[in-house]
Amino acid sequence: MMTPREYNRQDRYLRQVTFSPLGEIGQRRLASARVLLIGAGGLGSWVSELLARAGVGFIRIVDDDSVDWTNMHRQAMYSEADAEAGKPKAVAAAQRIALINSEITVEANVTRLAAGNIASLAGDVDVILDGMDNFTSRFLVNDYAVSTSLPWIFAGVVGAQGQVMTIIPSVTACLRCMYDAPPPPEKELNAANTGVLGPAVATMASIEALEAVKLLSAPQPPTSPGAILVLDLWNGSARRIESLSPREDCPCCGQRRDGR
Amino acid sequence: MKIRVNGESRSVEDGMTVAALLAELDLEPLRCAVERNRQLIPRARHSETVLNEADELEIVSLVGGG
Repeated sequence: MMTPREYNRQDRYLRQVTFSPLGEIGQRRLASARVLLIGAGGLGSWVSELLARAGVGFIRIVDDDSVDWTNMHRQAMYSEADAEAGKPKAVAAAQRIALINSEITVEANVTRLAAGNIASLAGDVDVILDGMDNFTSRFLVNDYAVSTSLPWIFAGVVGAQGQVMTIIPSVTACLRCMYDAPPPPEKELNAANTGVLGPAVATMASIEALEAVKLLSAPQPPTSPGAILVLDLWNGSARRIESLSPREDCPCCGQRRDGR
Repeated sequence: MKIRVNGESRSVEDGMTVAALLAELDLEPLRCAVERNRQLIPRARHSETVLNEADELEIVSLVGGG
């Protein structure tokens, strides 16, 4: 029986590549993959740690917020010292990732996503991942992703409920096919007005990270994208609504298809 | 008439609209995506879309937060 000392750095991904649907080829794809993670709060902190451990080669983290004590019950990676110091989340996350996996590149951007910077942040990545806490940003991401045919993974969590959906422009429904427009900010449910449980955040972030691993490692993802998974972890209910089709009259992707 | 909402059978008044169903379920329409028989219904048509016997609806309330 081998002892742990017989393993070395090259064995970092051994237990992952042994999973045959991923394999050595999938691992190489992950190593050359580039992701943009917008938001390093509850979802974003777990997602970035999972993807860093999985060996995703480049992770750009965008967040203009700082760690505080109200984050600590649900946000992976942050220490009491980070909360005490009010360290920018993007910086704290990047420092933590550097301790976890020195073989990948992580880039911290202490800035707020906006219409004016999304192209420069997302122009060189393979997928955008949702760690956002508001729908104005999510619709901005959706519209940009559709306009550039870039996949993005929508995820949200409040209370003990969450949703995840992989959106591939012109293949799946987009966020506007489903919701037309963001709800007014005062009608949004969020951690501040509704509360949120750490295990629910970790669950939804794990599903989001797994969707990203599938998308980035497999040329033909095993499950059809566009399904939305809706979990209520307090009541123990799960719904999976199979691949939603794009809406012909979608104000975002419908017009784009017409224009082709 | 009987319809199915999120996989469960439900009795509703004949001629009920999507908007009336959302109100009966006490759901905020500005946060809801409604799929009827696998077709997404635009929000602007919720009040004119009349439900039929045996319609299958999936309603997803947009969850924010992150």
